[in-house]
Amino acid sequence: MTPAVAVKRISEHGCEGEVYMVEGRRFRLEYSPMELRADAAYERGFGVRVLKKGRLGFGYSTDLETAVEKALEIASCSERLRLEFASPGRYPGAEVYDSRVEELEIEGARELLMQAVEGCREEGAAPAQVSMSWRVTRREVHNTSGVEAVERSTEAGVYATGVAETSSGMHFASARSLSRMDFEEVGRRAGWLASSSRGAVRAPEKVEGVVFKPVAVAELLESVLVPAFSAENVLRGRSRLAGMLGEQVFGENMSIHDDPTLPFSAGSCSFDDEGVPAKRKALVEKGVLKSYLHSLLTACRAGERSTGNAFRSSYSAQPEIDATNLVVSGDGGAEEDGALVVHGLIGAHTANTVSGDFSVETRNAFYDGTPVRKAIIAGNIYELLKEASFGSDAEEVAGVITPSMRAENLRVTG
Amino acid sequence: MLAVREFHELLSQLNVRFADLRVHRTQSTALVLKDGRAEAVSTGITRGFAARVLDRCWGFACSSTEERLEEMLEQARRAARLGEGKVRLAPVRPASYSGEVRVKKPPASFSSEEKLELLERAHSVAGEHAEIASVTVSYHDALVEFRYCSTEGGDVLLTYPWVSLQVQVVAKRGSTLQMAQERAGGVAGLEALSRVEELAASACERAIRLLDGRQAPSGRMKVVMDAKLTGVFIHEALGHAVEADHVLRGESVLANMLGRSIASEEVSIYDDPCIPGSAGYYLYDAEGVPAKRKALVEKGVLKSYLHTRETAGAMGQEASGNARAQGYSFPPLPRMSNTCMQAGDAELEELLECAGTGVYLCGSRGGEVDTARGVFQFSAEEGFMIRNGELAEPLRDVSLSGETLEILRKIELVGREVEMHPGYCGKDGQLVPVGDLAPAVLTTASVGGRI
Repeated sequence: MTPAVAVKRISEHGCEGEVYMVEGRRFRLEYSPMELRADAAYERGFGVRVLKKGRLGFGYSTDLETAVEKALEIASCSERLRLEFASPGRYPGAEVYDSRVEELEIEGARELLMQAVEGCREEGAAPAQVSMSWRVTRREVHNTSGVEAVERSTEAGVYATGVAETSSGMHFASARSLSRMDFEEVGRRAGWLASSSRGAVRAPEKVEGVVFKPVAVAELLESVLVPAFSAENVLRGRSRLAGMLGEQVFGENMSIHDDPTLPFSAGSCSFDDEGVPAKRKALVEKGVLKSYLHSLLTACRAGERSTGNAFRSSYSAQPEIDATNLVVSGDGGAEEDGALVVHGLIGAHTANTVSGDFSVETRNAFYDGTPVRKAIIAGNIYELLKEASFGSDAEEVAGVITPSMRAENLRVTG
Repeated sequence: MLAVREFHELLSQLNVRFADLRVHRTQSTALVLKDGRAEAVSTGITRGFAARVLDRCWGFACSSTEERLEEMLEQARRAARLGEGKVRLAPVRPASYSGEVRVKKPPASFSSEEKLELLERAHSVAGEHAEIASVTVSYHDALVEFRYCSTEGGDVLLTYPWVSLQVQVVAKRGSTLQMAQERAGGVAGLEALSRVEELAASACERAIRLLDGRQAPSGRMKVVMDAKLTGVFIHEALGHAVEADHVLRGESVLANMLGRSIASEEVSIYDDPCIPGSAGYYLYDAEGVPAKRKALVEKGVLKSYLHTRETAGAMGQEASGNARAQGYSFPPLPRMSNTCMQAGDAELEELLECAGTGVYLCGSRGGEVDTARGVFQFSAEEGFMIRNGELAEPLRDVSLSGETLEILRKIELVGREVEMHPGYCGKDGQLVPVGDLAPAVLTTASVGGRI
C-alpha cells in the first residue's frame, strides 16, 4: 500500500486523515580506547492520524495497512476536537540535502572520525569516546486535504569527549552538509577543554557575573525557555509567557528567531511533520514577545495558523511542538572580567520549565583563566534575559545559533 | 516471526567469529488525558531486527524490515574489518529459554475505554484542588516479544507486558507556577496501577506546597535525602560510574578501585534485575545472559562493575547480565537494572535529629553525572529546612551537587524503610526503564538554591 492509497482508504471510511512516512538509513562509527564500533540501521515506518466524526486516532506500524487499521480502531476513544489537516501550500525548498553524506562510505567516514580523534590528542587529552553519525532520510506527509509533501534530507554529526587526568571535555556539532563540519576542530575543542581544566580549584567566594559560552547558552535555552514558546503550554497555563504577546518580556538588546530556512543547519526543513510549510519567524524582537510556536492542533484551538513547528521523534510518536533552528542575537558585550566563564552545564534538563527557575552544575568553568572544580549556578531565565548582554562570537551548536551571554545577579555556589 | 532455524542459518552464513540476532516486537497503547480530555490516543506495532557481527571489531546492523536486514549486515561486516581485533567476549553458557511473564491483569485483556477510566480516576482527584491549574495523566502499556539467538547456540524467547502511568500537575497562585509529578509502573499488568488516586493526590499536594516554598540556602551543609532522592543519587552518582564501558574508556572515578573502600561502612548497593513487577525487571539481558543480583558496594567496599560480554572480557571478569538495548534499533550497552541500596536502622526522626541544622530534600526532577570527574547534579522536587533537628519551612527549586566519592563517604546514617521508584535512564541516546530502591540517608553536600 502506498501513502496515496492509504489516504484514499481513509476517505472511503468517511474520515479525514494524514499519513506520515519516514524512511532512512543511519550510520554511526565510534572510536574509544576499547575498540572501534560501527552501526548501520535501516528504518521505515508509518504514523497515521484519522479524524472520525471529530475524534482523533493515531496508529503506527512498520506496515502501512496496520497503521491505518490501528488509527481507525483507537479513534473512538478520543474526545471530539477541532483539527484541520494542512492544506496544500508552497514549500520554501530548504537546502537540506548533501550528496556527499549519502555517498559516504564506512572507510571514508573513519578518516573523518580519526581527524576528531587526532584533534583531541593534539590538545593533550586522551580521546575517551569520539563518534560520528550520518543519515539519509526521506520524509513524506500526505493528507485528505491534498497535501503530498516529500523531502529528502541528510544529516551528519560528530561528538567528542576527551579526558586529561581527572578532567574531561566534550564538544559536538551537527549539520545537514559535510561542508559545514570541521571534525578536527570538534576534537580539538573537546581536548582543549579537558586539558585546560586540569588542576581545577574551588570556585571563588564571590563572582561579579557569569559568562555562558554558546554551548551553555544553547543547553540553558533549550531546556528552560523553548518549552515556554510552545502554544500547547501557553494554552494550558503552563507557560510564563502566556498572555504576554506584544509585551516587553526581555531586554531591548536581544531577539530570538526560529528559522528553518538556514541552509544546511541541523533543524532546517521545508515543511514540518504535519505538512505545514516551514518559515522564519520572530519569537522575540528587541525584547518584545512576537509569537508562540504552533502545531495544527494548537492553531485550531487558538484560532491562529500553524507556524509549522510540529515534529515527531519517530514514526510511532505523535507530533509535538518544537523549535527548528533557534537563532539568538543580542549586543552589549560578554566581557569575561570578574566573571565565571562556563562552557557547558550539567543537569539543565532538570530545571523548572514552568517557573523558569534553574539550578545547574557547570562543565568546564574558568575564573580569571583558572579552571574551577565545581560551581552551582542558580537563577531564573525570565529575570536573567531582562538584563543579559551578548557577545559578538555567535556560533552554531546543533540547531542553536547564539553568541556568548553575560548575566549578573546569579547565585554561584562552590 | 521467522523460524528459529532461519535465524541460525542467516547467522552461520555470515562466516565471522561471532554473530547474534535480536528480534523485538512491541504492541502498545498510549492514552493521554490533558486537563480531562482524551485528545492523544494511539496504538500500534513496531517490529525490527538487530544483528551484530564480530570480526576485528563489532559491526551492528538493524532494520525494520527483513528485506533490508541483509543490506545493513553487509555494511556491518565491512565495518567490522576495520578494528584492531581487541574485542574478547567473556564466555557464557549459551542459554536456551522460552517463557512468558504472567501477570494478574494483562493490559491486553482490558479495552481502551476501561483503561481511560483509570486515567479519569486520577484526573478527578486532581480536580478537587482549586489551585491545580493543569493536569496531564499519561498511560502507556506494551506487550513485548523478544527473541535472541547467537552463533554459539544461544536461544531465548521472552514475552512480557509493561505498564506505566504518570500524573503531572501544575499549581498556580497569582503569577507563581509550580509543577509536580508521580509515576508508577513496571513489568506488570494493571494491578501495578491500583493506587492511581494516591499518586494524583500526592502530586497535587506537593505542587500546592511548592507555591509556599521559599528560596533554599546555598552552600555545603547537612542533607537528609528522602528515599526517592537517595534512589536517584545512587543511580546517577554510583551506578553510572560502575558501568564498565565508562571504566574502560578512562571515564570513571571508580576505575582501579575494586576491593577498595569508596563509601562509608553504612553503604551497601546492589544491581538487581530479579525483582518481579519492577521497572528494571528482566530474565535475560540483550546478549542472552541470565539476569542476576550482584553486589556493587558492600559495607563501603567496591565489589564489581556492570558488564556486557565485551567489557567483562576486556577486564577478565564474569559477564554480569547487564547488556541492555532500547528496542531493535540500538546495540546493547552496559546498563543498570534496579539499583538498590540496603536499608539501615534509623527512623526519619533520627536522621533529622542527627542533621541538627540542614535541609531535607525530597524527590527528583532528574539528574546528570560527569563520571570522569565524579561530579553529579540533580534537582530535588521539594525540600524543607531542618532546624533544631525538626522539619521547618518548605523550600523549592533546590539542587544538589557534589563529588560522588566524598558524598558516599559522608553518609552517616541510613534509614530503615526502603521505597521503589520507577524511572527511565538515558545513555548514548538510548532510554531504558530502571528502578531505584533506597532508604533515606543523612550526608553532607553542596546545595544550590536560587536567589
